[in-house]
Amino acid sequence: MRARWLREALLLVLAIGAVLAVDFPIAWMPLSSIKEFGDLFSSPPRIVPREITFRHYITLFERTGFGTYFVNSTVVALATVALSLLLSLPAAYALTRYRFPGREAYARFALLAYMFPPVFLAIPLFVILVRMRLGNSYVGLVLTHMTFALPFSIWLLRAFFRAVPLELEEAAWVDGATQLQGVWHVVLPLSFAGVMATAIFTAVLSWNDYLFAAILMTTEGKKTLPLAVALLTSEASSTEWGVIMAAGVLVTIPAVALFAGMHRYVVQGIGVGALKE
Amino acid sequence: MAGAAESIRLRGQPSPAGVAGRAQRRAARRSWLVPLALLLPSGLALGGIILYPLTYSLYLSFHELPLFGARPRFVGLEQFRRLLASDWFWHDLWNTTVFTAGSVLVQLTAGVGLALLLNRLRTGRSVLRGLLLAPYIVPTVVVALLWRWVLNDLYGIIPHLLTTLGIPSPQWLANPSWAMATVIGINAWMFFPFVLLVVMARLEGVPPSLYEAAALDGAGGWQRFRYVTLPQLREVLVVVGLLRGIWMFNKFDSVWLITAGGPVGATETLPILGYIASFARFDLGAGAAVGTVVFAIIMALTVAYLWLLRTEE
Repeated sequence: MRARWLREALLLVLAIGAVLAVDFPIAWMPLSSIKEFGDLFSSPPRIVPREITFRHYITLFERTGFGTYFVNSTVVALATVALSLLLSLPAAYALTRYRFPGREAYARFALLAYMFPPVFLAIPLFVILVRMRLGNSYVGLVLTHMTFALPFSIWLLRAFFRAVPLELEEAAWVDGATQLQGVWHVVLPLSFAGVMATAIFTAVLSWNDYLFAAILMTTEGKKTLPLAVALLTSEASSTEWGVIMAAGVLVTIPAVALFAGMHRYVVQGIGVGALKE
Repeated sequence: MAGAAESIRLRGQPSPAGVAGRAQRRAARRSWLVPLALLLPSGLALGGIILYPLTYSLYLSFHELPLFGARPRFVGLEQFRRLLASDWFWHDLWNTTVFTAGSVLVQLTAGVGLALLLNRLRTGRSVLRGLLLAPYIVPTVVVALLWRWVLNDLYGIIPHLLTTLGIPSPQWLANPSWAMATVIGINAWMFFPFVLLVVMARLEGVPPSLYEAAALDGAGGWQRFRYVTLPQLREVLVVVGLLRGIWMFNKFDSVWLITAGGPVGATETLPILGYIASFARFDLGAGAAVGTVVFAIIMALTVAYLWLLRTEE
């Protein structure tokens, strides 16, 4: 009995050590963002700041269009989620509820499409979108985000819809429900966690995108957060680390909030969807 | 599996639902029009934003097209000849291979190791798992600037901690012989949580009776891992390894944002070569040619993946 406790304690110490090692670079970011210059650039580095300051956050909003980038990123992520759910929900339903020639091929293509190298989709997409006068536009950017959001949503939702037993849907029909009512009252509520997980993932993927924004968005007022922050680091001199860390904190918070608030769905989401049919 | 049961049902076996239900189901399920209508929007979208650009990229790789030029000019295989004749291509292909193999190996090892550790814990398992997911959630841009700060040669905390402990700290990102290892490490740090989640989910499905049987046979800890856990994980590891391999082979943003391929090309991979050709040298044909070559390699990997899935079934 005592050996058991000892073993558990030992494992716990190991696991906590691993968590500290893995997460400490992340924790270092908010800590750096509230340090005065003296503490930020002291040698040896000070772990606990002598004085807390929010000047880097103020500088960030004063000197860059951070609020605008924030809004841009949010709009693009929401539009990407809405459009990809709109297209992938019916697709996933058809792929799990009907038998027809080409069904497997379609599903496989969706999986394959998710593995196409984004850089090389970016080159032709850039030419095509600029020709269509969609360069430097949110519509163009949302379309490029669909290249990863849509295949991913189809693949994930298909896995979740499959897990909803057909019998339950049929039982609703026997009770006189139409097929659409069956979807609304049976399939969607039972796969709610899956739909949520899909929406969150899609939003985070869009929120994180740097590549497509970098090739497409050229004017200052239309930049999304990842692009603006990356430019901030390449332009900034070595004294700006406080501002850069402040920007990093603000970009990370929404992603963390989404994941934390819906941790349950996300874990289920990766468990069911990401892997095997 | 639910999937298998469902496809048997769909082949027309009777279900507990009534006769009316069956007839209605037949009518609905045999129809082609409904699924066609449901798939059409997404099909058109996938065609427009994926198939068409890919075809166009293939077309471009046989042409010369300056970024600000007017029309593509047909040059046959010239782009490929130039690409394969350049030293950079082979240099970057090697770098891509090292990067992919290195980061997949490290993230698999870390993911499996930590999954096994957490799996044996009784207290705080899900909290610790949640905390270990953090690197996977932090946006790529932030990961890049975060590590550039933490590893900063002058003010970084990691060089400082290492020096304090008496361990020499190289110039992690500025030294060409260390940069690749550093970039691999950062990418493995970002993506091991994916492996951790998948492996933990799989471990929960291992029947305890297998371990009891092994214990009865007198198997020790290592033997239980070697003969019970590992075979149970094999399938999942094969799939995750290949998936992650494909994604790492394609990886552009994290590498670009951490080092931009430098110093002196030490971390330049093929996606970076293609990006530079197109958007820094403004030669879209050359970029598309790199894309076509990488695409061929990815397709080979993907076919291997699907083939493996099939044999696993």
